[in-house]
Amino acid sequence: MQKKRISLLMLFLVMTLVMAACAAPMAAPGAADTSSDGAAAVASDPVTLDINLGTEPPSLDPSLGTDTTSISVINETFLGLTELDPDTQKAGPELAKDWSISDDGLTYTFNLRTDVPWVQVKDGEVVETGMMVTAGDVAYGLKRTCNAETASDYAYVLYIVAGCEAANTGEGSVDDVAVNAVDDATLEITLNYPASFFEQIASMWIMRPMPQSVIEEYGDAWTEPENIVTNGPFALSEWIHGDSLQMIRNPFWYGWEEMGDVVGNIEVINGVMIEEVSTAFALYENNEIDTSGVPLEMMDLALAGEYGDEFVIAPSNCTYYYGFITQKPEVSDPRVRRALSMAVDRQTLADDILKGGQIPANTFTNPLNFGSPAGDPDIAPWAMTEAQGGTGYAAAVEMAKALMEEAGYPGGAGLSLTLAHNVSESHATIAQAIQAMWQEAFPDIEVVIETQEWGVYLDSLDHDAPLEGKPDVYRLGWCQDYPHANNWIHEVFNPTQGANVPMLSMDDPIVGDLVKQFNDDTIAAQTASEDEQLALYKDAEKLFVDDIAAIIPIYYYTTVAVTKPWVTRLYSDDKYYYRWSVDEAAKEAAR
Amino acid sequence: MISYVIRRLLWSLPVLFLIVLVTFLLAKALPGGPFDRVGDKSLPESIRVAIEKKYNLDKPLVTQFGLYIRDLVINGDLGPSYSYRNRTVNDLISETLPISAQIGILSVLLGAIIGLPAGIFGALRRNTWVDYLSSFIAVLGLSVPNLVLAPLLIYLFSVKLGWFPAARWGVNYKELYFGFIPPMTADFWSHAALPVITLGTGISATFARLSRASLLQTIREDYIRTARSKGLTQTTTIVRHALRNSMIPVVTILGPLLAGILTGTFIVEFVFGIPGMGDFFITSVNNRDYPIILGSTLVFAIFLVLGNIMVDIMYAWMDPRIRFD
Repeated sequence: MQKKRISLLMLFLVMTLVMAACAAPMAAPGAADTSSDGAAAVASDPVTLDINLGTEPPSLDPSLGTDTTSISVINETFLGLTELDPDTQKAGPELAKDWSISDDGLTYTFNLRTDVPWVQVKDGEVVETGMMVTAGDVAYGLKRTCNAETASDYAYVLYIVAGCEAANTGEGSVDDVAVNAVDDATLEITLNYPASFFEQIASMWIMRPMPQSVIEEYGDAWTEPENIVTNGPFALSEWIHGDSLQMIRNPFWYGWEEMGDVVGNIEVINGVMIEEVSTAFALYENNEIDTSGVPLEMMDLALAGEYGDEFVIAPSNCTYYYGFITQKPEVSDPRVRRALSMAVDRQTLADDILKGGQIPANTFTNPLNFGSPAGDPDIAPWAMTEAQGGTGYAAAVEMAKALMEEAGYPGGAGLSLTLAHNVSESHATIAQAIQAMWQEAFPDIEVVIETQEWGVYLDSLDHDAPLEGKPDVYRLGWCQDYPHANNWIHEVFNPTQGANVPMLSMDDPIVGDLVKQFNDDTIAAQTASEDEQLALYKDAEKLFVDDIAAIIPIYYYTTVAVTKPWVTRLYSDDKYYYRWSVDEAAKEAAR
Repeated sequence: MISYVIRRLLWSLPVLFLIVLVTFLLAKALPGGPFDRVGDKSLPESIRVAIEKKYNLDKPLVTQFGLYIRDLVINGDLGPSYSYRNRTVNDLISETLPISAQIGILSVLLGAIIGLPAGIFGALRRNTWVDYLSSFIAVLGLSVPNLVLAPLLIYLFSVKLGWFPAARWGVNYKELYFGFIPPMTADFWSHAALPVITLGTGISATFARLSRASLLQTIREDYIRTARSKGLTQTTTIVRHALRNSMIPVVTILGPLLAGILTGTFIVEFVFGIPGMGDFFITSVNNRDYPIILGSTLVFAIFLVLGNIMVDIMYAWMDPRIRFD
């Protein structure tokens, strides 16, 4: 009987084969033995960094990457025109040695390096393809992202380049996108309006040089390790979908020689794809990976010092916030919105509920961006603790009570709110905590929490969605595309040019004039000098989160990680793996 | 028998078509679309329009469905994935299904090896410590969720004792023979141990309870009394007459059980970081990745149809009264 059952099971497997057009067995390429400079091959094991990517990268195509995992790999394999400094977030040279800006601020001329080869991995070794990276490759990459046929999610960031929006919407030709390779080493890009943040956009993955011949030859499969050609510090040597990915050092990258102490010593990066943080943490404890996130259940231990110097909390460029649909009658009065914002005890939320060292937020724009006035006590001081220079929570609650009474809801009586968030355990915990804080500050307020599945939720917040279906208060977050206030306060909330989910209107009977001023501020900042920008963004943030009180900024994100003592690393959002080092002897000894 | 099987297979074609149609309509009826957003951000309208055009999502529903069925029937093409932009659904399924099927088959085998004897001895030694023990273990196996059991096993057998790897699967899709048979290396078995035990305990509990209840009922039947009264020994009565018949309920659940388990189990794959199909099944719904939703539902449906045909064939073999011709 057992035998028969097994044969029937085998039948199932045969169906598997028929169904799934089976992949022919291939020998997996062995761990690559690379040498650092191609001259003296080292016989010992290569210096290896073992990491958890967390998930299968949805796409390694620079035009199509949208998530942090994909981008972390793209950043190591493709060079940008510029590179952001991990500390200051300012744009510095990478592929472009230097650049100049025309007097009208519209045309950027980049002078490119001529010593960057396209490479690929053959039999576990990085080899040159014979092609060099040229201005034409960057122009091709930029146009490809704008091209509607590429269907890039992030093409909208490049709408600043003249002709890109038309090409993307099909109203114009890709040939008319204003990027021009004057010669192999000179690239000209013309913008729609002058914008100091374009240098930062020029560092983004969506406008990296891309290998036209390879993309045209292999189509969608061009990012597979057997096809892809790259030019960054590392090259893709293996990609087992859903399981693991390997990058090896590209010895032909100029930086290993030129950048001296800045670069690290890593020769191989092995990335596994474990979604569950607890499992990744178990791998970390078994010394199978060198760094990991920390599961919530381990946070108390970690905060108590169990992991010593291995445990680090680092700021991350995202902001968590609640927004108001300002056209809903319950929250149409800015005094109500301010009172609700004041009554959120951000520090307690961070310390007792989130436990990841999150930073209480008094602005929307995260402090890691140019132009962020975060921490400035002129803006929503009631959101900050006394240590941060604010009023502290006790004083904030008193102000909130007074404001609420002034608005006609003494003790919250008569005010009934719906607070909506998408389904997630952590969002639910935060919502319940804030509900409790509001009820403590305003005993007669009624707050109903609604949860919806993510797609349904976003649909209900859409501009065209009926107003009665919208909540009074909604939850969202924002992470940078490029580290500049324009990507935040303007692109997300400008009432005429941004996404504007709060539905701010210049015709608002109470705050219409303030909305108009806010609108003018963030538009003016786009073309202003650096000093003027700082003043304009400060004014805009004050209007937006304090006077208009369109959102409740709650906290700035942090990333929490443990890292083995044999790894020297950076803790910024972008990984810069090429700057990391591993003490291979110490690592081997620990295993 | 063969004509019966062919008839059943032909009949399953309209069933599968209906399943695809209904799934297609249900997926489209979900609010939100695959390209409304990136991460936590909503996408500008112009971007969404451009991407939807590329994937024919701007066309009427009838046309979309027609195109899908055409590609499926003519080329066996399940379409591109929307969330893994450079991959096709055929790629994703051919890479993940064999891994899920391996875990599934091993777990069902483990479940049968533990569960069937436990249930049978429990029934034969009814109300003795053997019965109580097997019932206790069965209830435990059913009530401890995999989400609890898996991290517990990892902590105990991997982090503390170091006997087994904490996560991942021992082979990848590139190493499989004919695309689905794993090489039986030590690495394969050591990686398989914890996930298979996690999944197998629940299955063995199901088997144990079913086989116990069924065997208890069977040994009260007249033909068993007849067998006993004509002087057959206990062993002969049970092995030759009771067991075979009492397995019918077990076989009945085997069809749907196999279909469910071979196409991936989200929790076990998620916790152990195994690149199987379960994860795609779940996340594709959140991502509104229509081709993956349709593709994985279709594969599941095919397994279910085949599983049920297999169950019917086994009925005929087990119960001489059932004939299909």
